[in-house]
Amino acid sequence: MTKDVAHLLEIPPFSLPQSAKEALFFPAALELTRYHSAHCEPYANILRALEFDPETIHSTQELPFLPSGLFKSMRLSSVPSEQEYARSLTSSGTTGSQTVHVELDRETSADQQRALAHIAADFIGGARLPMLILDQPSILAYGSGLSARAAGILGFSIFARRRVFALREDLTLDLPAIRAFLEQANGGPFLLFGFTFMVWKYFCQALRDSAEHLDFSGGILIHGGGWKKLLDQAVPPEEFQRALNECCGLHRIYNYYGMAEQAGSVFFQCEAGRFHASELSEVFVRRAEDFSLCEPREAGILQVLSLLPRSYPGHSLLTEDEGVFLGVDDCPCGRLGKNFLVSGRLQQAQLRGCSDVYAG
Amino acid sequence: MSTQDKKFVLLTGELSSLEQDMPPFSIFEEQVLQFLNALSIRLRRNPEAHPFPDLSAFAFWCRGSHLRQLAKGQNTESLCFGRGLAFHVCPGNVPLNFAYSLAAGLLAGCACAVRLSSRDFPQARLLCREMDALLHAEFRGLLPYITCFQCEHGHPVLARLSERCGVRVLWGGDEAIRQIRQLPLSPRAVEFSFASRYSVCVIDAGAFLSDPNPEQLSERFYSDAYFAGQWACTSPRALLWLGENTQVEAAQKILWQEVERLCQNRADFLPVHAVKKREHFCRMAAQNPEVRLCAQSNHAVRVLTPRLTPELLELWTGDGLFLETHAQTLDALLPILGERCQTLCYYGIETAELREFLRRARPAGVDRVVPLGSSMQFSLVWDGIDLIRAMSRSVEFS
Repeated sequence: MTKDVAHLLEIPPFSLPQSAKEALFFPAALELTRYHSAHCEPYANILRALEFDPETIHSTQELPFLPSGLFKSMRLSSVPSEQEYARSLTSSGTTGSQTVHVELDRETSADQQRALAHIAADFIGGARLPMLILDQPSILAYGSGLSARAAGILGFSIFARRRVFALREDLTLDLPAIRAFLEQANGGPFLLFGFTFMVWKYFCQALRDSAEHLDFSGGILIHGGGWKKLLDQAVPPEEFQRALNECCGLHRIYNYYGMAEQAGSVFFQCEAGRFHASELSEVFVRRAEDFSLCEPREAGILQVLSLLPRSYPGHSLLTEDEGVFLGVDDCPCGRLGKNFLVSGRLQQAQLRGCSDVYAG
Repeated sequence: MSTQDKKFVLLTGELSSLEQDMPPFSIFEEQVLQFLNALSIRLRRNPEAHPFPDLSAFAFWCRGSHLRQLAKGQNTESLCFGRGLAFHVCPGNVPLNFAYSLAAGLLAGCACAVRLSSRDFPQARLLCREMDALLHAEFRGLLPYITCFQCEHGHPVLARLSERCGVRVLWGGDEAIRQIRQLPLSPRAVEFSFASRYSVCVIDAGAFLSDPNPEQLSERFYSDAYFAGQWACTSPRALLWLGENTQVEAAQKILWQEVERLCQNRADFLPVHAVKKREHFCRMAAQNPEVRLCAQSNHAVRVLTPRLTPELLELWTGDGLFLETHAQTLDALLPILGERCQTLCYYGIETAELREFLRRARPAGVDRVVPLGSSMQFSLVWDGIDLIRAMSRSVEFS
C-alpha cells in the first residue's frame, strides 16, 4: 500500500472539505502520473505527445486522462512483465462486450479491496452480514480472466458472513435456496448484491412473475455495473426502486457507479440521490467540444480519477458516460467533497465506415 | 431457419421486376438519358430536396446536358449493350452512393437491382420516392429496369439476384464484401468490388498563402474532409504540406482556423466522437513517441507527425481526425500510397509534376488525382474501373 492511500484509508471517506481533499489528492495523483510515466513506456509516450509537463500544473483538473476505451485495445502495464500475479479483468458484466485489460498486481488488488470496504462501510455500515448474491454460482468460476461481474461479487464479499447465490445456472430463481437464506437471516439485517441488469431482469422481474411473496424488507441491496443495459431498456432509477419495493419490500437500495478499470474506488449514490467522490477518487465533467470543465448542472463527459491503480496507468480516465456535476461539500446527506449525477452512456456513434453493408 | 421471415423493404419499382428478364439497352440509351434528366428536374424543383447538398449534387450530375457530355467520351457508334441484370450492393457510409451506382448501371444499358444499406438516410428515401413516381407515370417502360430495396443480411433475394445477374457491383467494407461473395454468381457473370479505401491530401503552402482567398481554399478542404463525417473513402485522412517551415505554419494557421469555424455548424458532432478521437490519438502516440496532438477543439483533431506511415493510418478513426506532416517533396506521401489509397487531393502543384511523381514512384494505390474541393465528385471511372465498359459488352465486327 502506498503512503498516500494508507493515509487516506485512516480518515472517513467523505469527511474532508474539497479544499483539504484537493491538497491531499493532487500531490498523490501527480505522483502516480510520474510513477506510471517512469514505468510504462507507452504511457510516457502519450504524455509526451500531449506535451504534458508535470512541473507546470497545480491542480488535479490539469492532470492528463486516458480514454477508458484504451484499455480495450491495449495492454498498459506499469509492472515488470515477469510478475506472476498480473491478471486481466473482463468487462462489461452483462453485455459481453470487449475485454478490458487491466494489469493487477498484489498491491493494487489489495488496495482495491480495502478501498471498497472503506467506502461502502460509510453507506451500509462495517458489520459482516449474510449475503445473497443475485447471480449464478458459476460466475465465480475462473476462466482466462476475471469478469467484472465476478470481481464485483468478490469485492463486496468482504461484507459477507456467508454467501448464498439466488440464481441457478439457467438464471432462474433458486427459490429453495432463497427461502432458506431468508429463514436463517430471520428478518435481517442482510445484504443483497448484484449487477443492476441482473437484479432487474432475473430477480425483480422473476419475483413479480412468481406467485410467492418473499419478504426482503430487512435487506440492504447494493447494485451497480450493468446499469448501462438497463438504461437502454429505459428503466428509470425510480421505477427500479419502486418495483423492488413492491415485489419484495426492499427499500434500502444503494446504487454505485464504477468501472472495471478503476475497481475499488467506486462512487456510491447517497440517500439524496447524488453520487459521491470519496477521498480516494475524484470526478470531473467535461465538455465534448474541447474537454474544458462544465459548469455545475451542465451535462458532459465524466472523467474519473482514482489513487488506487499502481500496476497500470488507469488513475485518470475519460469515460464514455454522461454525467452532471452538482456541487462540492453541499449534499443534504452531509458527505463532503464533490457530488454528481450519472445520466447514462454517451449516445453511441453508428457504424459509419463502409464496412456496414450488412450491419447497416 | 426460415429466411422468408427476414425483412425486405421495397423502395423503388416492383418486386416482380426482380424475376423478369429484360432486353439490355445500348449504352447511353436515349430513354435512360431522358429518365435521369426528368429525375434531375424533379429533384431540383422539389423543395424537400434542397436541404441535402449531396442530393443537389446528384441532381446536377444527372441532368441531360451533363450526361450527353459524358456520352461524347464514349464510343456510342459501336454496338455496346448492358450485361443484363446489374445487381448493386451499396454501402452505409455515403447516403447517395447507390444513386451513382444505379445511374452508371443504367447508362451502361443494364437493368438494375439495388440493395441499399439498412441505414435510414432521408435523402436516399426521397430519391427512391421520386424515381418511383417517374416509373409509375411517364417512364413506365423503364419500370422493370429499376428496383431499389433494403433487406436483412441473409435474405434469399440476395442469393437469387446473385444467381441471376450478369454483373454484380459490390460497395462496402472488406468483411461485407467477403460475405456477399459467398453467394455464387452464374458462370458468365462478372463482378467488381469497391472495398474500403482512404484518401490523402497534399497542399503547397506557398501557393496556398499566395492565393487571394485562402479561406475559400480552406472551405474546399473542409468539404472534402468532412463529407459523410470523414467516413467516405474519398475523405482525406492525411494531409501533407509542401514548403518551408514558416510558410507551412502560416498556412496551417489559416486552414485550421477556417475549418474550426466551419465545424461549429456541424450537426452531426457527438460527444462520443471526441472521446473516440482522443482514444485513437492515444493509441497512435503510445507506439509513436514523435507524434504530437494539436487540437483547438475536438472538431478537428490533428496528429502532427514527422512521417506518414501505414501504421499510423491504421489507427485512424473518422469524424475529424487528421494525420498531418510537412516535407519538401511529394515523396513523403509514398509510405501511405498503398493499394488502399484511392484519391489524392491536391492544391498548388502542377498536374505535370503529379503525373511525373506517380510515373516515377508507381505506387500500388491512387486511382484518382483531384483538385482540392472535388474529392467526392462522382466519375464514371471509379477506383480505376471504367464503369460503363465494365457493365457493358461490345459486339466485335471483323
